[in-house]
Amino acid sequence: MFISIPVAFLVVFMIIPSFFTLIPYSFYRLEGLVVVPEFTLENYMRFFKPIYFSTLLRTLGYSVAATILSFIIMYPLAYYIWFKVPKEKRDLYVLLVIVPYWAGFLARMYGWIVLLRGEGFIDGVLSFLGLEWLFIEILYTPIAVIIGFVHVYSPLMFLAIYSSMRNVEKSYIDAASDLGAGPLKIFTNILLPLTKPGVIAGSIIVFVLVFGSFVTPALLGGPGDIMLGNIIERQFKQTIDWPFGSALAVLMIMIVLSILIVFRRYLTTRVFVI
Amino acid sequence: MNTSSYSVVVDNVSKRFRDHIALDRVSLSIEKRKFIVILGPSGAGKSTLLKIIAGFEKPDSGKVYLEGEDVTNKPPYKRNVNTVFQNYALFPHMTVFDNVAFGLRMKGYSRDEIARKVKWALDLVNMGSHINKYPTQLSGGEQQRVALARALVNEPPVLLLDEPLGQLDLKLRRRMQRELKDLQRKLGSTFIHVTHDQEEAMSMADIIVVMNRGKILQVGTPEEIYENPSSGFVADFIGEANILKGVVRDIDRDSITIETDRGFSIRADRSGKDIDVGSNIIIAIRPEELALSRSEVPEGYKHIDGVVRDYIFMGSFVDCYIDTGSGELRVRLPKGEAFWIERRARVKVLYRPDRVRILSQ
Repeated sequence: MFISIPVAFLVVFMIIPSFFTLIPYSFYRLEGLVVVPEFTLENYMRFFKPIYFSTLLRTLGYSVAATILSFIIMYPLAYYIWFKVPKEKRDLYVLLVIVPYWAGFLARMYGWIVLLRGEGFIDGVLSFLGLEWLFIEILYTPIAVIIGFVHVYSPLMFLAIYSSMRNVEKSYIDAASDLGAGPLKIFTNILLPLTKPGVIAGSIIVFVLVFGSFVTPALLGGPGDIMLGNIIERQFKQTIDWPFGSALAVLMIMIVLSILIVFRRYLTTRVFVI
Repeated sequence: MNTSSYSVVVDNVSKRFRDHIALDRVSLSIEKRKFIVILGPSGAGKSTLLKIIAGFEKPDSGKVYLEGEDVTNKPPYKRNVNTVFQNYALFPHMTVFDNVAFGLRMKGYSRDEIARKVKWALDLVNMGSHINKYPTQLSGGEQQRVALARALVNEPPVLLLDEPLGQLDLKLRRRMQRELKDLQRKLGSTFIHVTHDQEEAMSMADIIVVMNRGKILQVGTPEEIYENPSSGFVADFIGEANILKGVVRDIDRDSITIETDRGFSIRADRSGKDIDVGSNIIIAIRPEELALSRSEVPEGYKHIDGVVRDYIFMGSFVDCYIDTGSGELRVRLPKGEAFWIERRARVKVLYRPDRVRILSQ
């Protein structure tokens, strides 16, 4: 029941207004700097130009990469904290994973710039160790962008997986081992199926949040590493092409919605009970 | 030691959890094809011992042999034993069939063989008709049977049962005890069953292993342990017993006289033991080996004077609590012999000196 209040707020103040502007605008024509309310599909057709389409692919690539990396890092961590950490210390460990999420978003981004830039912190440590040949040159590359995303959003992946992991009893793992399953088979036959709701929920959250990002690529990426969000931002703030920006925004919402619909049966509220 | 002639050999195993000593230099050799019950109160270390045999816990020191092979450092999935867990641990995302088939799939059996063996195992525990259900759709007793089938389908030479009947109601528990015993006879494998229920132990075991505080106190058949408990703890834990402390006051050729801490003296057969006058001693008398009379003392019996403090009707028998001066004795009478008992009646507690067990000095 309580959930209906925020949902109502969201619908009244965010979804309805944006649909009254975004959807009509996406079919309007731009003449010079003036929006003319005449129906056209031109805004949607423009999207299929190589420059925009390749940006969509890059955006999908970042989203998938950040999701997979978050899973690879956070799944073992969730397993470790649930099964190996003594009961009375588990909450502390969970807190330690989440704490960075509370730090300011921009502060974390600038933190990475300081760490990754040439002659930055990491290079400094390497040169102190006499390992100049290891110098990293990844700031303003896609690698830096993905590092930023994983750092920012992987705690959410952790929470989703961990809350699923809590339903897995140690005795299931013992029983599987007792019946002849080695570590890999325990993972594929017992752990993964039992934590699937958490993995899917965590993946959707990370994917959707990365998909709509524009600050991280602007700060950590190079000029060629922009995402759909950056293009939309540019339409509204610089080129003042609201119809095209609206069309792009509508397309992004459609993509995210179709992902949510495909996986909706895994999006139980239970997953977020910590 | 020739370990290969035994099913399981536990050699000088210790295990400590932080500051709690779960197992303290435990050694145990388990013969093949026997039904072993490890009996003890909670915290005795019996589950830890089972987990070390299964491989879920590693001993801090000592060795474990299965069928002669040193498996101390082998993980569970490389050991030829199977376990029935206390909470059953059925995989919630798999049907009954898939649960039972799991072990066979891990070992790479063919589809036909798996189907045949799963059916065999489920029929063995009378669960053949529940093949497509999920564990949550089954009652506790049914889950128990599936857990049993899941272990037995692998035909392990050693089956470990970790208090598997603890969550069942009394009637079902008694029935499962008989069924487990029958299964063990039919399959001819070694069953190692952990319980804290002494009746369960008595009714199922070929050999009982009594544990307390991380140590094995006594190993023997139910009769041996009942008749000759090695300590006050065992005497009290297996069946029931009046455990008395006392001082030896007099010794002749066949018998000794003991002044007990409950305000009376008692005579016990010496049974060849070396005992000195004045030494402290612990003795046990089973309540069902005592009798009551108003005045007469039959041939071969000795008696202790007392007053009936209370009596409790227990169904087929009556437990009488007799005040003996500075203590109490429990006397268990068959229902038909207790009709004349009333509170505050003066009685003689009858005993036979050969039924008084001298436990330790």
